[in-house]
Amino acid sequence: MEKVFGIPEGMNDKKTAFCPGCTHMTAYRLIVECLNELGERDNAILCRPIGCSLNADGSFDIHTIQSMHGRASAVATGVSRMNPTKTVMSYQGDGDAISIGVAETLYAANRGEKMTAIVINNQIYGMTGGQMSPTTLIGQRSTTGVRRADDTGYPLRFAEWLGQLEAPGYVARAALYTPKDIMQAKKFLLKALRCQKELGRYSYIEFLSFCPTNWGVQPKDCLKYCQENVLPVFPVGEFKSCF
Amino acid sequence: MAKKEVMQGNEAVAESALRAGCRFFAGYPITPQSEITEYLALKMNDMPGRAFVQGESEVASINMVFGASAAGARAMTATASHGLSLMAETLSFCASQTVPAVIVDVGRAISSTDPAQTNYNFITKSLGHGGFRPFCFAPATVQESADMVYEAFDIADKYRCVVFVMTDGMLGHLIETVELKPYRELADMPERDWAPHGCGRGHVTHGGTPYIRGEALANRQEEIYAEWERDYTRVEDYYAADAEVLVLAWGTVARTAKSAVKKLRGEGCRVGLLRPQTLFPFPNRAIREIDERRVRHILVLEDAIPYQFYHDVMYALGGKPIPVTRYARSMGVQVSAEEAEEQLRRLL
Ligand SMILES: Cc1ncc(C[n+]2csc(CCOP(=O)(O)OP(=O)(O)O)c2C)c(N)n1
Ligand code: SF4
Ligand SMILES: [Mg+2]
Repeated sequence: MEKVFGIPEGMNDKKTAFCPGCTHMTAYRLIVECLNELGERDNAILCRPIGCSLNADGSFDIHTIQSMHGRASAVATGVSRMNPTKTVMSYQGDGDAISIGVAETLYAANRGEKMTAIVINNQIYGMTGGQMSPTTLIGQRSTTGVRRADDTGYPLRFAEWLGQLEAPGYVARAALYTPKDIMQAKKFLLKALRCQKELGRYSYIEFLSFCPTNWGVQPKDCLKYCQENVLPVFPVGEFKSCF
Repeated sequence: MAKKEVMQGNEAVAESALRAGCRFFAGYPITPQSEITEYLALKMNDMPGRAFVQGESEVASINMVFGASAAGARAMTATASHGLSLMAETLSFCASQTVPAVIVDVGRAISSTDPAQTNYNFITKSLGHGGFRPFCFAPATVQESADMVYEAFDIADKYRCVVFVMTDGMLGHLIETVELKPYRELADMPERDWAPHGCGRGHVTHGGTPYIRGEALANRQEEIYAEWERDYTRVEDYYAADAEVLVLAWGTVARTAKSAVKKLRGEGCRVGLLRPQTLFPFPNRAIREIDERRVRHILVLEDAIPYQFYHDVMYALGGKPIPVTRYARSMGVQVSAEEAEEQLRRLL
């Protein structure tokens, strides 16, 4: 029988620490698959912050540099400047990239660092147990309260913001929801990495991801929840493309 | 012999870092450090294999330095007091991940841009949380500032640690003659085989992979500190051998005290100065060996109130029966040569 789907080269079947129904691992798989397709996995450095991204520990073969919470884009800047021929990525949560590290993420983009920022937007602080994040939806519950615009402001649409900058070459948002969404996410990620590699420009890609544990939504209900609540606030698409 | 040049302290530090093989610098402007950042901004991006980035903050700058260093390059940042506080988390992280970094702190007062020595405890006692300690040089001349930065990179590489060169606004802005060490070839830098250069198949590497982890890593630090104290402690002895009244001071204040000691020696007074050139490792032994039968009084001077350096001197003395007087200024006011002289005369 022909095998049509399996673990890509550069990943293994080790058990990870992700919760059931979490889509962080889908993002990692797409990164490995895209790097494999571009022949770049042996030439790649991933800067990883603190967040649920850590739960993938040991499950993929990409040189990884641990960074402090929020600082992966600054770390990637240093890595990239000293290794301009590498494919340099940051992998960050929404809290990491858009709250505590918003300056570092924004300025790496505005300088047009030769890197790809990959941001997992799950509208929550996953790792610390479900506190409000910069992308938490209006009316969404978190352990630090329900988001109300009048005192906690609005979910930040960071991709739209970066899309207005001059320096970035590619800015997009995709969802890790349905197989169709995931195919689109992979297409966008390939473009993001090519933009960095071939044109030496900055790319930003935001992946909408499930966090059933901290949303209090059953994994089987996540898709419906996202289609009704997340996608209207965070539309998928390309906000800037050099291709 | 290389030719002598007339240079400002901050510029000499910057130039010397380049000569030592510094490939990456990120910094955020702050008085009285800015000349280091400006000097490197104008030079570094035109030098092959090197890069300068003006960070959007000190937080960003130290994290860029972490990234550059973890990926294999000699890297440095420079800041002053307030910026140092912002860097704390990543300094701690550099230490715990054993990623080398060289930091120049051009100390200033908390309430003004005037020189101060109030970062002493921060730097010598603990890099932020976690309790790791950096190597700390304390120059007192432009020449020494340049030489110590040059050496700092070697120590950082050898021990995979954070090395500080702690100056202040006075030293940073002082203009003196200096003989700079030669440019080192970037290709000749010690290899960092631990740095991730992109993946070998089947390997997952954490940047700045600690060669040891967990408690073993912590215990190794204690061994390193003991080694530093044994092999790297440096102290300048200025007429200390036969002094009856001995000044203990570091950096700028030691320099000020030196002129007072010189003047009083001219009058035949038996005064002297012991000046730590490394603050961590601290010259515990040199202080412990002060002869209480000869030295009648010790005067500790510093530009820091609450006192900081004083407490380390007291600890090193270990209860020796020598009276100690402390005299300090703070909040942007420095101990003057006249004050140092007056204090000494009182004790003679
Ligand atoms: C300086 C600092 N503050 C707070 C924390 C605690 N912390 C760890 S992960 C995290 C938030 C993670 O949320 P996000 O970045 O959205 O990633 P997710 O886990 O949701 O993927 C926080 C607040 C920390 N590690 N460091
Ligand atoms: S807490 Fe949320 S983001 Fe973290 S592993 Fe669980 S589901 Fe995934
Ligand atoms: Mg999150």
